[in-house]
Amino acid sequence: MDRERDINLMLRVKDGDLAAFEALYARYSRPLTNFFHRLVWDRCFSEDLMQETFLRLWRGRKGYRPSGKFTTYMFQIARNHWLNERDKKNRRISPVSMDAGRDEESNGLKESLPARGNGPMTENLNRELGEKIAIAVEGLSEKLRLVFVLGQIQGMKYADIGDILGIPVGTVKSRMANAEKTIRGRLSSYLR
Amino acid sequence: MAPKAMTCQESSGNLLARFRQELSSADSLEIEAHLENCGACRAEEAGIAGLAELISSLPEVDPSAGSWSRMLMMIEESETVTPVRGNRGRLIALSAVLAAALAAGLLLILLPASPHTLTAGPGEITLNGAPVKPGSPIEFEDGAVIEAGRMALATLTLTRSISMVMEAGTRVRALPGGHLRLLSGRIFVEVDGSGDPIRFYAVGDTAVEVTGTAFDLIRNARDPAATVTVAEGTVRVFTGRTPVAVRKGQSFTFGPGQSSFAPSAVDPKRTADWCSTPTILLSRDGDLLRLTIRNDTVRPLAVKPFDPHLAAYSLLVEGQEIRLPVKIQERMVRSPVPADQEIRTLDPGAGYDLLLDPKSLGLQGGTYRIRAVYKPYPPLPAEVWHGPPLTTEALTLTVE
Repeated sequence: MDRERDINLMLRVKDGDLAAFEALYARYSRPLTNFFHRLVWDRCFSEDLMQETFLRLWRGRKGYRPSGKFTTYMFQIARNHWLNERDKKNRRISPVSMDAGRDEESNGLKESLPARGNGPMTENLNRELGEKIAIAVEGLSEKLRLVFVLGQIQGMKYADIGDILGIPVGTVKSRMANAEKTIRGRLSSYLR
Repeated sequence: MAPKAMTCQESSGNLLARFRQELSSADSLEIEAHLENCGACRAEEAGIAGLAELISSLPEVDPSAGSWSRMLMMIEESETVTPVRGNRGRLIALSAVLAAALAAGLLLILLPASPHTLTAGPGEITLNGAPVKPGSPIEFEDGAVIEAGRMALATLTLTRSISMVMEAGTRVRALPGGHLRLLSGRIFVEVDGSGDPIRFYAVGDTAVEVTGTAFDLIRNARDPAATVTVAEGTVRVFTGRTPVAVRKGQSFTFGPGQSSFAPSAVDPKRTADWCSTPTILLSRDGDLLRLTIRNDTVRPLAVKPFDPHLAAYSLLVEGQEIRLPVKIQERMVRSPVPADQEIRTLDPGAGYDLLLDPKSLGLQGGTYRIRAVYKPYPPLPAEVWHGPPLTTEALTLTVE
C-alpha cells in the first residue's frame, strides 16, 4: 500500500505537483536525515545532505520511472550524492581515528548521543556508548559502512540494499556480516 | 542419508541473516539444529542481538524546524518562475514551478507588476532591512523582503480592497509575477468585498477563496498542513473536493495528509482578536447614558464616531432607531477626547466614553429600553458581519 502510494506521489511529482513532493518530504525527510546522520554523525551536515538529495529528486523528477520501490530510488540518489560528497574537502566531516578523542562540541555528535537514564552517571555512560557506536561505524570502510547503515540502522532488506548499491544480494550479506562482526568486536565491552 | 551437519563457520555466516529474518526456512532449520549443540554460536547469536539493541538505543534525529521552508527556497532558487494570469484576471494560473513555491504556508496575492507599490499602514515595517515610514507608499522589486517590527503588528495595504496585518516579526517576500510569500510568522487578511472573489493559494494546490471576509493563515513549519481561521464572513476552501465553507468562528486545517474535512469551532477570543470593529457597551452614568467604545482586538482600529457622514453609532429606543446627530455629539458632557477632534485610530486596549444626555435625544419623561448600535461604514452585508455584537444588551432608562 505504502509502496503504491509513494510511487503515485512520485508520478505526481514528475508532473510538477509540489503538494505530492511535500508529502514525500514529510514522510522521508526524517529517515533520510537519519541515514546521513549515521554516516557523518553531524546533525547539520546530515540535514544538508538530506535536502540536497530531495533537491536532486525534484530536479530529476522528469526522468523518474516507476520500476521499483520509491525508497530504493530515493536512497540510490542519496547514496550517489553521498559518494560525490565524501571526497570533497573542507567539509565539516573529518576523519576519525579509532584511538583519538573526539571533539563533541564541534562535530555535533554530542547532541545525537543517547541520554537515557536519570542520573549523571547513566547519562555519561549513554553518551560514551553513543560516541563509541559512532566511532565504530565511522571506522568501517566505505563499502561496509553503507551496507551496515542501510541494513542495520535503516532496517532495509538485503535485496533492497543490493538494488540501492548495485551489488548482488550475496555481496550485501557478506558485507553486512563483516561490518556487524567488526562493530561487535569494537563494542564488545558494552555487550553482554 | 541424514543431511550433513552445519559447521560453526557456516552457521556464523548465517546467524545475522537469521536474526534479520532473511534466511530461508531450510537454512533456518539447519542453523537451529546447530545452535542446539553449539554454545559458541549461541553466544554469537546473543552478541548479534545485543548489538542490535545497542544500535536501536541511538536517538533518532529530526530535521530542524523550517526544514521544508528551506527546501522550498532551494527549489525556488534553482528554477525559473513563470506565472500566468488566469481568465478571471484576478485569479492566478500557476505554472508547475510556481506551484512549488506555494506549499510552505504561502499566501500569494496578485499585485501590480514589478516594481510593486504597497502602502505601509500603522506599525513598524522594514523593506530589505531598511525602515519604512508608516503611511507612506513603498516600492519594491521581486525578491524584496518585507518584515514587521519585533514589537507590534504592522499593516500593509495591498490593493484598494485587500489589506494585510502582519504579526510582529512576520516576514514576507515578493515573488516574480506579483505574489507575496509568507516566509515566517502569521498574517491576517481582510478583503472588503467590493470586488470579485479573490482566490489565495495557501498550501499546495489548496485555494482559499474570499470575498468581504477576514481570516488568518498560519502554518506550523514542521507540519505540511495549514490552518485558516475565519474572523469575519465565510471563507471557501477548495481542496480538490467539494468546497468547504468555513464560517466566522471556525477553523479548518488542510493540506497533505489531512483526512478530516470538517471545520471546527475555535475559542471566540481567537477570532475576536482580529475583528475590525470595536466593542461597544451601553450603561448608565447618573442621568446620562454612557456609550463605551473600546478596542478589544490586538491591532489598531480605525474609528470615526464623529464624522456626520460616516456616523457609526445610533441608539435603538423602544425599537426605533435614533441616529446620533452632530449636535448631540457636540453636546457630550464629558469625554477624554475633545469634541472637535476626530478620532482616527484606537490602539489595542484603548477606548473612550461618550456621555449622552437623554433629553437631548428627545427622550422625555418615561421609561425606555435602549440599545446602542454600531454600524460600519461602508456598510457590510449581513452575511459577513463580524466581531462584537452589532447591538448591545438592552438598558432600561427612566427619564424624569
